[in-house]
Parts: sequence; structure tokens; C-alpha cells
Amino acid sequence: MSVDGGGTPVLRRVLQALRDSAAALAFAVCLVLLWHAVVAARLVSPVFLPAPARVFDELCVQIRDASLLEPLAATTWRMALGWALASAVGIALGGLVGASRSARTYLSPMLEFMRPLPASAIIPVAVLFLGLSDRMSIAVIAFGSIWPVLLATVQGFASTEAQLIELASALCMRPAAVLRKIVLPGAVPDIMAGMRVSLAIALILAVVTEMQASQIGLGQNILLAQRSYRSAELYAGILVLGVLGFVLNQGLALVEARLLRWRAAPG
Amino acid sequence: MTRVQTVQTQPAAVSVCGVSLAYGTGVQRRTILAQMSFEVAAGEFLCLVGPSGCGKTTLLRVLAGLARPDAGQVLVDGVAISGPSRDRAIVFQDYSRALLPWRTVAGNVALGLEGAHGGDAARAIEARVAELLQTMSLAHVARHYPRQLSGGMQQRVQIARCLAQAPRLLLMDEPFGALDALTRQSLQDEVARLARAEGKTVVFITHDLEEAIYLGDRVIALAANPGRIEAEVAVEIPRPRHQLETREDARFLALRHQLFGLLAGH
Repeated sequence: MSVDGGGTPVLRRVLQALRDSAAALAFAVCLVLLWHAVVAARLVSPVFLPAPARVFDELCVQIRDASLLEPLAATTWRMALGWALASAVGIALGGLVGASRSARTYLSPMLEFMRPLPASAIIPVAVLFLGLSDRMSIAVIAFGSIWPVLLATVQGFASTEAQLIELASALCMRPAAVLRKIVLPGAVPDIMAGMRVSLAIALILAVVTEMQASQIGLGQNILLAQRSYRSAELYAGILVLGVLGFVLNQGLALVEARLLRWRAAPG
Repeated sequence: MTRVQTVQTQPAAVSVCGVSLAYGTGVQRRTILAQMSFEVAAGEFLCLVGPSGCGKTTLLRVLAGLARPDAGQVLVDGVAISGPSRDRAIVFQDYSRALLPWRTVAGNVALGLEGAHGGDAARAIEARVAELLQTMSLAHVARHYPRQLSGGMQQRVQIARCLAQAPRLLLMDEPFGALDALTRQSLQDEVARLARAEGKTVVFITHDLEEAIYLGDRVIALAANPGRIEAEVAVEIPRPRHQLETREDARFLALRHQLFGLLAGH
């Protein structure tokens, strides 16, 4: 039987979460101190590795004069569009392949052929057809990040509980209802796991395409900073990318926890 | 206003006529059901008891319309069935795989009502679900998820969902086989009471001889390889039955002896 959200277990969970966060933060602070010590001791030239305080100052300047906003927005926007496209197509195609034997026969070998192709190898082709445009970036991001979500969806659809399909036919459910009420919700855990992996790939490809196609964005900022030896700017850009990836992943984890609360419900 | 509850469903009468079914091909071919024929009267509680491999579950799937026999047919009120129907509800043996884990208890019960009604029936469904949860003593866990419940409670949810279908024939496949003795007994009494109160024809499968006699108006004993009818006895013990007294009743013991000998293979 269940525990009704009593005060003590909730309090204990919150305290545990706080302790965990404090531990993670302490480790991060230690790393920054180490970084500072390495720079202060002149172990590495400041041209290659600036002090953390300088990187922090640079970041503050970029935030204050709003020069961070445009590249951050551009990178996030391209990544989000590419990832959304990959998710939509991946779920639709994966659902088709997972649910239908004949679709599997026709599509599987081709998908297996395309899957290991490095997305960066596709960039020249994409540039030929779409030019050095946002559309090119989005196409490359979508192509590269579609695989995890697609394969996870295939897995999720194919592993539908046979007993539930039998139940659906006993209830005379129409195919659309079976898909909506049984197959799709059953595949959500797999799909979400795939979408999280795809998100990380989408961010990588967003940065790579910017660097290759000289588009405004965090990736281009980093590249330009490196070429002109503005090391504080370079590390500030990397820091922002890290934070962006972290925030997006945490956001998705929240959505996942909400969608899959039936799994986490206290037993 | 949309009325969800069917006013009063008449229980169905079932005829199984020469049903045969085999799986596999060539030398692998195995006859599961051989020329099986029997009748179930409207409102009767029929128990089918038999060893594993006697085709009990296959027979129930044929009755549900989930499996098609190679020969013979099943008539419900004189009409041959051609597939599943919402008129016939099936309670699966493995409750843990027969509920939607992502739906609450109330949501799982509502599944039995969905699709049978027009678009704006949501409120009517809600009312009927609340009623069924009350009937099955599930109201206090309406918002829980199946995995938060014990096996007995999960099986109650499955029964509530089947009742939601307002079926005229209730098919139960060893529904209490995995439950502990106490839970099993209380659910036996509950199902017996519901079947009478709601006027359902019930076909109940079990491998537990005592359960079959305790619940049934009639017990059909099946033999295995291939599945066929071995014996058929009427249980003339009045209702309501009682877990202690009925099981000590001379008629109960006599039936137990008679069927035990048959099932043990003489």
C-alpha cells in the first residue's frame, strides 16, 4: 500500500537533495580553486589559460552589455529547432518501424546504413544544397541527432506488452485508440531517454556547424576568440555552453519526471 | 444527459459447439482443444477446472473471441461470435500485465467505458467510475497507480474495469491464482456476490478444485492432451455460501472426492 505524502519522508528527501547539491557545489568550487592556483603559480601561460576571475569578469561584461544575448539565442534556437525536428521525425519514423513488420523490412537496412555516418561528414553535402544558412545547420543537427530518439522509439513501440494488446482487442479498441492509449504511453520512457541523448548531440552539432559555416553563435565566438588569443572570451564561451547544456538537460529531466510520475510514485 | 449505465443487462446464454483448435504445423502440430461442446445457461456461474495443458486459457480466449477455433463455433444467445465484443469481458490471470501502469486506478477503470459512448460522456464516465470504485472498495486508492497496490487490489481494479464494460458474460482466467489465501477468499465471496447482484453469466477458470466447487453452480472438469471434457457435475449447495461452512458441507466434500479422483487420473 502507499505512503501518503507525509511530512517526514518529504522533508528527508529535500534534506538529502540539499546535501547532494552542496557536495556537487563543493567539488566545483575545489576545481575553480585548483584552476586559480595553477594560473597563480604560472604553470601555464595566461595566454592559454586565464585566471578564473578574468573569465568571470569577461562573462559579466558580456552579460552587462548584452553582447552574449545574440550568439546564445542563435545557438539555442538552431539547436532547439534541429532537435525538435529530429524528435518529431524520429518518433514518427521509429513508431512506424516499431509497430509495422513490413515497414521494418523496407526501412531497417537503410536506417542501419545511415546511422553510423558521422553527421560532420554530411555538412559539405548540406552546404552544397542549402548554402551557409540556418537551414543547413538545422538540417545537419536534425540528421545527426535523430538516431538516438529514432532507435529508442523503435524499441519502445516493439516492446509493447502483448497482454495489453490483447486487452485492447477484447475492448474492441480502434487502431488509433490502441496507439494513443496503449502503445505510445508505453513507449514514453524509451522515447524520453532517446530524446535526452539526442539533445546532447544537437548541442554538439549546433556548435560544429557554426564553426564550419561562420554563423553567429557561441561556437563561432569560441573559434574567433581562440584565433585572436582572447583567452578569457574563449573560456567564457565554453562556460556558457556548459551551463546551456546543463540547464537544458535539467529542464528535460523535469519534463520526464512529470510524464513518468507513475514510475516514481512511492510504492 | 448521456446515460452510461445500461439499464439492466440480461445475462448471456452460451453454447460451445464442437470447438477444436490446434497450434503448429506438421509433426509439431498439437491439438489444444478436441471437439469440445457444452452449454452455459443465462446467469449461470460455470467453473472449468483442469490440470495445466488442458487448454483452459485457450478455451477462454475462444469464448472472448480472441482466438478462432479451427472447427466448431461459439453461440451467444444463439448467434455465432466472430470476434471480441464489449458484451464479453475477460479478467486476465496476470493482473500486473493487464493494467495500464501509467494510468491511475480510476483511469484504468475508465478504460472499460471509453469508446462506448459519445464525445461529451466524460462526466457520465466519471460518475460511473466512482460508482464502480465504491462497489469494488477501491475508492480510497482511486488516484494511486497500479504498482502502488497489492496484487489483490490490482485484481480488483481489473474486475472493476470489466464490470465497467457492462458485459453480459464475464470470463475469468485463474484470476486469484497468484493471490494469498485470505485475499483469495475475500475476492471469491465478492465475485460470487457481484455475479448474482449484477446478473452476469460467468465462466471461471481455475486449477483449484475447491475454488471451482465453492464458486460454481456447475463444474466442468477438463482433461489434458488434448483438452477435452472429462466430467461435469452440478453443485447443489445453496447461496450465499460461506468459506467455512460450505467447505465442510457433506455435498462439498462428496464433490471434492468425486472430482479429485477424476483429475488425479484415477
